[in-house]
Amino acid sequence: MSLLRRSTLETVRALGINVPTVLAVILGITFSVLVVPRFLTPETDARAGFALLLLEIAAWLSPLVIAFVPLLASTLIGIAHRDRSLRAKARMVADSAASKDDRMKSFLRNVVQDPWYGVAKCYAFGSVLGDYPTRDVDIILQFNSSKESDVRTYRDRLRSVEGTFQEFHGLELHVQTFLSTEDEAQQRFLDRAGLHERIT
Amino acid sequence: MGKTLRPEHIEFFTNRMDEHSLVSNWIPISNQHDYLFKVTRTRSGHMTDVIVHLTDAYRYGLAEFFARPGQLRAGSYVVIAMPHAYTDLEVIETAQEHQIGVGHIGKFMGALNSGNVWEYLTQDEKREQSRRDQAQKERDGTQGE
Repeated sequence: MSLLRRSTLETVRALGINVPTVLAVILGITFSVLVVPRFLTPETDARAGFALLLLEIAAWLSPLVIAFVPLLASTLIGIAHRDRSLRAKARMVADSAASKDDRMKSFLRNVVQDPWYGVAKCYAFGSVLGDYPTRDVDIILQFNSSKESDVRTYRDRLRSVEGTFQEFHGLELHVQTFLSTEDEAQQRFLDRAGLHERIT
Repeated sequence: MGKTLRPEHIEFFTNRMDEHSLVSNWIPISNQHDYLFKVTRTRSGHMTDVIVHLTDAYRYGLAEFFARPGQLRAGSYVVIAMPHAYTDLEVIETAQEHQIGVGHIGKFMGALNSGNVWEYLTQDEKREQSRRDQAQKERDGTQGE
């Protein structure tokens, strides 16, 4: 049940449905259903018929128009907010007194737990877990979906994480991804990789 | 997927392109996130240009293919740059459905000789396909009895 609720919440978030959008839709429907019919009485002048017809069409379209503006605005604000939030998390972690490895892991943990990125599991492996210099940080991400469109969306969103990681930690993030249905393939990969550590 | 290859991986690929008798030219068309090349073949027969994505994936799986660069279209190729990296037959066959080839540089060198680069399979891949199809037939036969 909780899984179903979580999935519904993520879908609603993904669609950008929020309070202003819902209010705008309700306002539009109210306008078209309650206000317009008051003007359409049997006494309506025939000459006004065309104007009223246009008004009615506009009224039926108004929810779309009214909803689009806050939807677009909230989406743009949401993206900007997420970028700021990502950088704030990176700065907070980078400024902490923990060791460099712990700072990197802490940043990754903070980020990939956000449902926006669709990550079900995250592991670090390779040279970052050893005591020798490294030029990049290898991580494995398993998405919570196996749908092509979801994977493409999540991968695009992770691009900004890669950029922020490099900016704050000075290392490239090398991401190896798996679908939600690829448990066996992921396990085989981990076996081949050897030393690894679960981040989330 | 990304741009974490070492310079020697890229150089190895470009050197192989210089050596291939059917490649007349190649140009890098990389974007911010991926290594991409446009490989032009000599115009004998139906040798179209090939857009190549040089991937840094350790395992080129379905997730990588789903998130492939938008420049890849029918007739393009995903070259697995790192020698120890690998892919699966399932991925190769899924990519074939989109008329896109997937393989290491050695396989790509062979694929460049055929008009439809995505159709070219190595001997190992053909054997794996045969084994899988044979096993499927046996399973179907067992269920039918």
